[in-house]
Amino acid sequence: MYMYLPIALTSVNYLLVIALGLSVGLLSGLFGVGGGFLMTPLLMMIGIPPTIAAATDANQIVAASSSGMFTHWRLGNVDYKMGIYLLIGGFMGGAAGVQVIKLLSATGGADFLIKMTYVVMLGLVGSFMFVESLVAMKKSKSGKPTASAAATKKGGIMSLLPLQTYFEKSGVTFSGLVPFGLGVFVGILAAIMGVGGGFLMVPIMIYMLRMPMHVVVGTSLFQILFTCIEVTFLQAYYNRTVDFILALLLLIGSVFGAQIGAMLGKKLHGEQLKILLSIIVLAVTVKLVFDLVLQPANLLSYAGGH
Amino acid sequence: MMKNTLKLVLVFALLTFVSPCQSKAVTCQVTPSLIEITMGYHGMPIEIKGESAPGDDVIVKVTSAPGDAHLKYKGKAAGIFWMKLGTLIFKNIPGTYLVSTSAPIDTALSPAERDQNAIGFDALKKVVEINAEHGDLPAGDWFKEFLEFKKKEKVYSLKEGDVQVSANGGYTLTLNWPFQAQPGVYTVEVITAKNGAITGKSESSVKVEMTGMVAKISDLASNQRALYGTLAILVALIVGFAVGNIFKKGGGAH
Repeated sequence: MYMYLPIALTSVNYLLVIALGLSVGLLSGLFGVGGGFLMTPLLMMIGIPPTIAAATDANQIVAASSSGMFTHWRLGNVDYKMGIYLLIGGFMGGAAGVQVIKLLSATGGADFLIKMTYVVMLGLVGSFMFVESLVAMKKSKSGKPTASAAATKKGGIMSLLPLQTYFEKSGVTFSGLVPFGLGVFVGILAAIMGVGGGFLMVPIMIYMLRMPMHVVVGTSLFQILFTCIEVTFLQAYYNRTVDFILALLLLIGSVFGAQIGAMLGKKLHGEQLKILLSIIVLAVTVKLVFDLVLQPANLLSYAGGH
Repeated sequence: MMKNTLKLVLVFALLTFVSPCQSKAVTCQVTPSLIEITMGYHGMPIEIKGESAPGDDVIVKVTSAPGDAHLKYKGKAAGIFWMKLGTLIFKNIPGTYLVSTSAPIDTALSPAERDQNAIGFDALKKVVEINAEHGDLPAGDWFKEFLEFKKKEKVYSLKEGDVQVSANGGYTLTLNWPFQAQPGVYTVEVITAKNGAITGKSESSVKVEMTGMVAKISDLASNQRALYGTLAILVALIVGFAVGNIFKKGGGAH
């Protein structure tokens, strides 16, 4: 029942860890998010040191996202052109975000920025998705076109930017600078928050890039896969914080969870998926707010984590 | 001559095997004296036993070497939010501190003896030095917080009455070794006392080390980091794609 983790230097119930991987993998396959914003706190709750939890989570996301992406790739749901623009932007934003954290760590303001970014971003994304999906579901019931469907055809300011590109898979045309810029934005936030950024990237693809939901999930997984490969290597090389045994246990659960999630997703409509994701994001936000305002049981902790 | 030499070698080997004690009056033997961390390791019971004078109280203290502990402390930011505000350094404190006694600590040893031998949390408090990494030490009972933190980790404990003492002398303690205690060498100190005064002391050790696959993975992660990182990624990719392939009919558009 128990397995010793050579890097985390602790022993865990492996069935519990596999179950955690399965649950978060299910979200990954269902919504195209890495699940880092859920997995890292869950690992910390079972006694994994924060820095090990965050780095190892990136390692298991490599397996979950590659599994999910493979399925979506076979179904033709990955917009590679869009994914590469987002990825390049994400890498550059990530590097900038790491420098911001370094600077703030030296002045002691990092934790405040991380916590506030979490609450604000999760709160905004969750609330917006929830309201938008609710409105869209009501409209689709009454037979009226949804806001997102109508907006897909509009170019707006984006049509004035240079490097106009047609993204065939997504069926949208706009400047390549848009996904690049959004990639930079998500990259900065992802580095600050210590997550892959899937929960931010998915709403951005849906609401700002107006990509179809099925392409959003496959493309998001593509972007997350490469981001997490980079993070895993850097964490293993510079910080020795990737616990391979823990990652292996998590990924046994998460790859199967990702497949079950992808299959479940087939049975749900886009709006239903969005409202489910928004409820999860809002629940995490509420938990974070409680953690912030209620006095913790112990005032000491190890470095790292959120 | 040859026979005597052989006897001496045998006695020496036997004493080495059972982790010999240094005192003649009090003895102690730790079994096993080597705790091997394997894949299925989740801590294990160890037995500490030996000779003691009839009627003596027995105190067993197991500690790791003292060092500095760097921990983040939380406080209120902007008057509302609980956040990590900085780092506290706890100097000259063992990472693991497990004390077991045959009688309540207050009656077994006098306050002076407890302080001199760092037995009990009150005595430990007098040894530790607490500083903030930057600036002044913030207000608060940080030693109490430290104790609670370590107790939750199961590496600090004070168990009164756990040491079984025989009426004819001798003692036995079965200690559930916590898996949270990190690899290293731990000192096992046995103190006997009567009417609060120390009557004898003995010392032994217990070693905790990784073996087999656990040791190999730890070594790879420390000494061949690039290879370790690459392997971790490759295995994740292979498992991910393999499972994706198994579920060929799974997935789909939403």
